[in-house]
This record gives sequence, C-alpha cells and structure tokens, in this order.
Amino acid sequence: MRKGALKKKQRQLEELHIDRREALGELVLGMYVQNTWDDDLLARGSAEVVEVETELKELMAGNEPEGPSATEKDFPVTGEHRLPTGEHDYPATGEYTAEHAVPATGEYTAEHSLPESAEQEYPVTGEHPVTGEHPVSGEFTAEHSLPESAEYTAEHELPAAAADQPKLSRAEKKAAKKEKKERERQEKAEAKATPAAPPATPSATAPTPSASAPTPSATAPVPSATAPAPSAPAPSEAVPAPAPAAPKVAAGETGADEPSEKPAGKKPIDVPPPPAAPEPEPTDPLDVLEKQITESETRAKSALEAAKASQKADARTELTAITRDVESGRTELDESLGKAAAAIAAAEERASQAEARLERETAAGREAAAEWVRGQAAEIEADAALAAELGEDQNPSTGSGEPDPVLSARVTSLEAELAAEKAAKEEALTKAAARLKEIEESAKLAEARVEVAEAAAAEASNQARIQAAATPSADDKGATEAEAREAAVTWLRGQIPALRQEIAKSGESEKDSGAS
Amino acid sequence: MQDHLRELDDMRRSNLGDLGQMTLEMAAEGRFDRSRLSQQAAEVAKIDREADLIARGLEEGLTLQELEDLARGDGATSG
Repeated sequence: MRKGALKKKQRQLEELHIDRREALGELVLGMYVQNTWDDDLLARGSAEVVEVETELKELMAGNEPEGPSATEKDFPVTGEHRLPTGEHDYPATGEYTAEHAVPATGEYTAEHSLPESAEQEYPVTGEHPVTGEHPVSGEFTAEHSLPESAEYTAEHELPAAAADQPKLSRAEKKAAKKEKKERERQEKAEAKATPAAPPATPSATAPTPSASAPTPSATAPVPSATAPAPSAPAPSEAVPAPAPAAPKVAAGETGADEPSEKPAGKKPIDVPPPPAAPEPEPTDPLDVLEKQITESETRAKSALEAAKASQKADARTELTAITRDVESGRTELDESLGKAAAAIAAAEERASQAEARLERETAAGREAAAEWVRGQAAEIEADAALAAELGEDQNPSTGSGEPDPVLSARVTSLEAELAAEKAAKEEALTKAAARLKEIEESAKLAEARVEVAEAAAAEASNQARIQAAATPSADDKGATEAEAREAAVTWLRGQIPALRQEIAKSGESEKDSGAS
Repeated sequence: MQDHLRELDDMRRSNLGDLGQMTLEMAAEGRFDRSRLSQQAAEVAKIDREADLIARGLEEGLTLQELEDLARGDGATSG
C-alpha cells in the first residue's frame, strides 16, 4: 500500500477509534439515563473499539492488517450486525434458484403462493395485489430466494423498522441518485425502442419478483425517498444495496393505477421496477476507504444526533424517574422516621420502666436500711436495758450502778487492816514458832541437864553412903553436902513442870492464830 | 455563549471519550463497575444539561442573569 494511503488509513482509523470510543461513551450514557445496564452490550461495544484499536496499533507498527479493515465494516457500535455470513450467501448473480421457478414474464400465479411464514404479515390468499400491501422492496424471506440486493431477511428486523433508520450516508445517497437516474434513462430508452415488446427487465437472469410482485408502496416503510433504485441489469458483482427502489408513488397511487397513467398499448404488462439492483462496488481501494469512512462518519453523526435526541426525550423520563426516586426516598424517609419514632417510644418506655424499677429498688433499700436501723436501735435498747438491769443487780441501793466512794474507802481500809492483821499474825506465828523451837530446845537442854543432875545426884548419893559407912566423924560434913545437892534436885524437878506448862500455852496460842 | 457552548461540546466529547476508555478498561478486566460508569456518565449528563441551557439561552436570547435563574430553577427542580 502506498505511504500516503497508509497515512490516510491510519488517520481514518484514528478518527474511527475516537468515534467508536465516543459512541461507546454515548452507549454508556444512554444506559445511565435509562438506568438499564446491559453488560453484554457494553462488552460487545468495547470489543469493537478494541478491534479498531488493535488494527490501528498494527498499522502503526508497520504491519498491514490482514483481512477486512474495521473501517470497511459497516455496522454500528453495538455489534448487532456482523458481516454477511453463510446464511446470506446468495448467488452474486441474483439468479433465482430452481425451487422458485419464476416465469419469464415475471408474473406471479396462484402457484406462487405467498410465504406462509408467520414472520411476514402477508395475506395467505396467494393474491399478490399490487396495492402495496406487500412489504417494501427487498423484504424477502428465506422461502423467497432473494436478489442479492436485499440486505435484510426475515431474520433481520430492520426492514420493518426501515422508517426508523435515521439517516443514509452520503455515499448511499449518491448511489441512490445515480441508480435512479440510470433507471429513468433506461426506462425512457426502453419505451422509445420497443414500445410493444415485453419489458426486458424481468428476465430469468435478472431477479425480479414478477409483474405483480410486491410493489413498494409509499406507505410502506421506505428507508429513504432517495433510496437507490434497482437497475435493470443484474451485475455479476454486487454488494448489498441499502434498500430497494422506492418508487415515487403516493399512498393512493398503487400499482393498479399505473396502467392508467400510460397507454395500455405501450405497456402490456405493468412491470414494477425490479428490486434494488446491486451497486457496482468500486474497485479502487481508496474509493472504498473513502466511502466507508464517509459512512462511518455519517453513522457516528447519526448516532450522536440520535443520542442527543434520545437524551432530550429521556429528560422527561429522567425527571419522572427523579421524581419517583424522590417520592420513594420520601416514603423511605417517612418509614425511617416512623421506625425511629417507634424506637424512641420504646426506648422511652424502657427508660421509664427502668426508672420505676430503680425507684422501687431504692425504696426497698431504704426500707431495708430503716428496718436494720430499727433492729439495731432495738438491740441497743435491749442492751441498755440489760445493762441497767445488771447495774441494778450489782448496786441496788444506788440504783445507778456506781459504788459509794465512802463505802469503798472503808472497805479498802478494812481490807488493808485485814491484810495487816494477817501479816502481823503470820509474823507472830513465825516468832512464836521460833520461840517454841527455842523453848523446846531449852526444855530439851533442861531435861538433859535434869538427867545429868539426876545422874550426878544418884552418883553422889551413892558416894555418900559409901563414905558414911567408912568414917563416922567425917559423916557430919558429908551429910550437909548431900542435903544441898538434894535441894537442888528438888528445885530442878519443880522447874520441869513449869517449863512444860509454858510450852503447852505457846501451842494453844499458835492454834488460835491459824484458825483466825 | 457560543464559545462556552463550543467548550462544552469539546468537554462533552472528551468526557465521552474518557467514559468509553473507562468502559474499555473495565471490559478488559471483565467486570463493569456501574457506580464508576454512572459517575462519569453523570458528568456528561451535567455537561449536556448545561449545554442545553446555553443553547436555550442562545435561542431565546436570554441574559446571563436569566440563564442563572433558569439554572437555579432547574437545579431546584432536579434536586
């Protein structure tokens, strides 16, 4: 490809990419406005933008993309329309197949029943009025072999909505004008050349429904008043035309009225113009590119205008939706307020119950405390009474429980005296015991002395007897000494009972002190 | 106003392109975040409303003050 062509194509791809991206944005905007989201549609639109983007990248990388370019694909962004598939693989020549042997005259007979398919709202009578009840050109079903110019089949719902087709591209308009002129010129030529001859247009090789074939009506959906008119010759290489010819007949000007317009002798059979003739495809790639780019631009503009129109149309819907949202929000708010009020009331009730319970508990606590205090007071009173009673028991005279100090002093002095007396008695007893011991020792000594004296007296008496018997003179002196000694013994003997009596007296006084 | 309208148109196209780009990225991720799309689409819708207002002002020959009052009224209605 030439360098200039490459640059041009790159520029076109860039513009197409931008257009498709904006169209995708429009699609999202429409979904947002209508609040109807379709992820599948978004994904398909995105895929188409990515397709252009990929092709653009490849082109910029120096790789010439293979296959049909995205700029050559004539479909909207939604991707609902794809390139022709095998289902639309009609003969390029537009020849009818053997299954639908069409008379050369192009007349429809009763054997040519109309399609009974429910997809088409044709009358089942088999009559093919030329009144235009038949759908407009090119609206053939699969049961009717289609001329190659018919872009749409029953599977495509577009013909019925052909009137909704927003706009034709400039290239289509040009082609339509061109075909129209060509057809008019041909018709004139035919009329001049062979006025009585059958029309050459309906031929076995040129796909024509029939003379009474469905004539496009003005009331029927026509894509455009300037739609491309079919040409008589069926070109071997054809591309699907946008729509078949749209004859210039008014609603009342049906095919039945056509004969009245021209002399009957000149036209034995009213042949409506054949369906859309295929437009010869330009062979120059630049022309193809230009045409496709123009179509893309037109579509983008139409999409933009449609989006704007839909947006304006949706403004009211949006307002309604907003109003509805506001009402629903208000309802929800009211419900929320009601719930909140109920919750507040419940909380207040709980709070009042809690306060009442607290008051009850406080009162019960106070009552318990008062009861305890009363019990304590009663116990204290009982203790006081008991103490008073005990005090009365201990000091009945005073009655107050306090001892008399005078009495106490007296008692104390008495007790002191008693203690002193006891101490004196004990001392006396001790002294008496010591005295008794001395007396007993003295008595013992005296008894010992008495015994010694008795023994000495006895010895002395014995010695005196012995001496008296031996010397009478000396007897007188001896007799005096014996008498003295006898007197001492008698005194001593008198002393012993006195001592014994004294000891007995000391023992009796000691017994008396121990008893007190 | 004409200039502003043109600016709004350019801004709208730019935002639409951004919205398409955002959609492309989400499609690449395999998940469409509708909240983000709605946010961006709301921006475009806002621009559209302003553009409509300016266009109306141009058509009816309104002054800026009248347009402002109109905008406030629309804002009060829509809000």
